[in-house]
Amino acid sequence: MPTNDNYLGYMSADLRQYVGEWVAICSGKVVSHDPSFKKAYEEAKRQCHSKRPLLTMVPEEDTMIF
Amino acid sequence: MNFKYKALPRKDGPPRKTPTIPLTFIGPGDAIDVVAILDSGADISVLPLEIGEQLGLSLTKGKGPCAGIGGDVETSEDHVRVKIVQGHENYSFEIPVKIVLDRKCNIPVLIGRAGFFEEFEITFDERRERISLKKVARE
Repeated sequence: MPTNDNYLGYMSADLRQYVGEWVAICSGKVVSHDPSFKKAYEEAKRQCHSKRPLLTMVPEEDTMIF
Repeated sequence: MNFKYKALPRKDGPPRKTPTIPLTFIGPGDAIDVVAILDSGADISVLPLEIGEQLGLSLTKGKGPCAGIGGDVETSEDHVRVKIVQGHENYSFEIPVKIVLDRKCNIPVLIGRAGFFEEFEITFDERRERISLKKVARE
């Protein structure tokens, strides 16, 4: 389950610079971002060591909605 | 459980307040913590291809076109365990998901109704910008 630190970090993060990207949060801070989930996730795992990062995607305007 | 809406930025215009929730997907290949958009208009939850791959979900089962507001995309269908925790509340159950097989389709994780909305009494409080999930007993 996402740690409270990571969720609070997500809620307080200014995500304006990450539109269209996956953002990874660890210890409450953005540690990686990339349009590819896999790249953002792998970099976050490298930086987070034993902790699990929290990933979210900042959708673009034209993101497909189901 | 209560979660506040998150102001998600847009390229043009003011941020859009969006109902998002933190949860963990537990698949045969990995467990991933994500923040997902809670989408009451979606029949079923939708994952982008890279998350489906990382979780080790099937990319061949139930393959077919899936119609969305943005058009048709090829998807597969599988089930994945979700875990959602806040304070002393801790719930885990399986939901069906569609995995979008187009790698170029970079979508956020959407939690739709099937398998999820039956588990909770869900209130979208637009005025207070808050989502409330109240667990219901399954019959």
